[in-house]
Amino acid sequence: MAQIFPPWWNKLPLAAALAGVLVPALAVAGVWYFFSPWYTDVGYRPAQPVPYSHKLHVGELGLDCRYCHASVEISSVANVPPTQTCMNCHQVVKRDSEVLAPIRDSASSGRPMRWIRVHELPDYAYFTHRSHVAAGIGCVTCHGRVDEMVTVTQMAPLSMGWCLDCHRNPAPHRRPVSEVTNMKWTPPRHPQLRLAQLERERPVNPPTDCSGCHR
Amino acid sequence: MMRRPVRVLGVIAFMSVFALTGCARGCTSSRPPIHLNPSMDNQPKARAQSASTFFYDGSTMRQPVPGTVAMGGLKEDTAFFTGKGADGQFVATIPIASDDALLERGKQRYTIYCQPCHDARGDGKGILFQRGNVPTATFHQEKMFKYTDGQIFDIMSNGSGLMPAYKWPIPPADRWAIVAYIRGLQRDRQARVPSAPAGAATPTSANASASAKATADKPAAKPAGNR
Repeated sequence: MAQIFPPWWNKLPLAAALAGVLVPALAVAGVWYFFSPWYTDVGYRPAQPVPYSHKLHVGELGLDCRYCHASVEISSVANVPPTQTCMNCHQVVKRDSEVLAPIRDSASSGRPMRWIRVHELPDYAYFTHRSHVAAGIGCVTCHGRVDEMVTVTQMAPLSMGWCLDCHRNPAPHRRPVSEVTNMKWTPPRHPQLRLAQLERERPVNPPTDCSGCHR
Repeated sequence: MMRRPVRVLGVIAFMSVFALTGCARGCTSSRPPIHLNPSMDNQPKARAQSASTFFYDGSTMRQPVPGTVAMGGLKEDTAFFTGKGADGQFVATIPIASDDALLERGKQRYTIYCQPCHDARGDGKGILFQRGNVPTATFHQEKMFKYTDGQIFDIMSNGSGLMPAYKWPIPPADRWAIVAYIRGLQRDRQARVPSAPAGAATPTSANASASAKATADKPAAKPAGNR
């Protein structure tokens, strides 16, 4: 009479035990790695309708962030500039450029450009640029070295955990308000002294309760 | 005996995960982020500068009806908002208190909005001149000395020649601060170059403390939002 279970079935319990350990471990590792906003959101680099280069305009020409994003200090929104702002220079510089045709059309017709938004928070999170700038959080802290980006890329996860990391301990991320738009600012030699001074001059108390950001 | 299959299994799992996603953390992609739990990330509400399928121009944000005056936005203080007095003439001096704080603010704003073309010293040798050979006005010329503060404010607000209007990005209080700073630049240059014609060519509000005294009764702080 033939055996019902061939000899390799002896290894089945061992294989099952191994799979029972490996599969959950892989699943946990996979979720930890791939479901995180560090994976899903960071690195988003959409192609814009006009390939505006921050590297050229900020890095090489030295424009301040606020030349275009003028409302960042007075509003919750750091505005994308109207195309008239582009025309300030481009009415005389590269005025016949093919690439800039959509800008010229927009400026003359009044129809807004359809830029693709890179940094987008969920609609239930109410972020305000004004208070962050006033608290001395630099542009570069959340947006990365925009002055080196040809195409703007999301550098931070913009997740709630990431927000709270700073809200619970803002001091290491603060800088003098005058240096907020400075992309190359580095903390001075004695960070402890600097922090103490910042705290004295303008102490901050960022909210960590739900209603701080979710209304 | 068990070593090899385990290793093979691990390698296969590792490779399959990478084959599925094709990328590790931080690599760039032009595809929009996939939110695994979209919950209410995108709500049917209008946010600043968002697109709209409802309005004909595709923009969510609407222009106020022409002639609309917002609460507190009547801009009755014409000297402050237009640089012209009640008689329609340009005001001679800055209509707000001219102090160190104003100069400091003016310097900062000048650096943001004016320096790109007029350069840090006001010689008109900025980016446009360097890159496009576009003639840009220098502040250190007879014509500019003769301008009243109100006139400079008006040029800043409404543009002149190739210079576009800067009414939008710079609120009026900041425009006056920039006027104060430009006057400071002119003063400094004249102090350094004694050969420059004095007397008639002295900037109008050359004496900051005098103009501060003259306008001490005016309120210094204006709402920044009123343009």
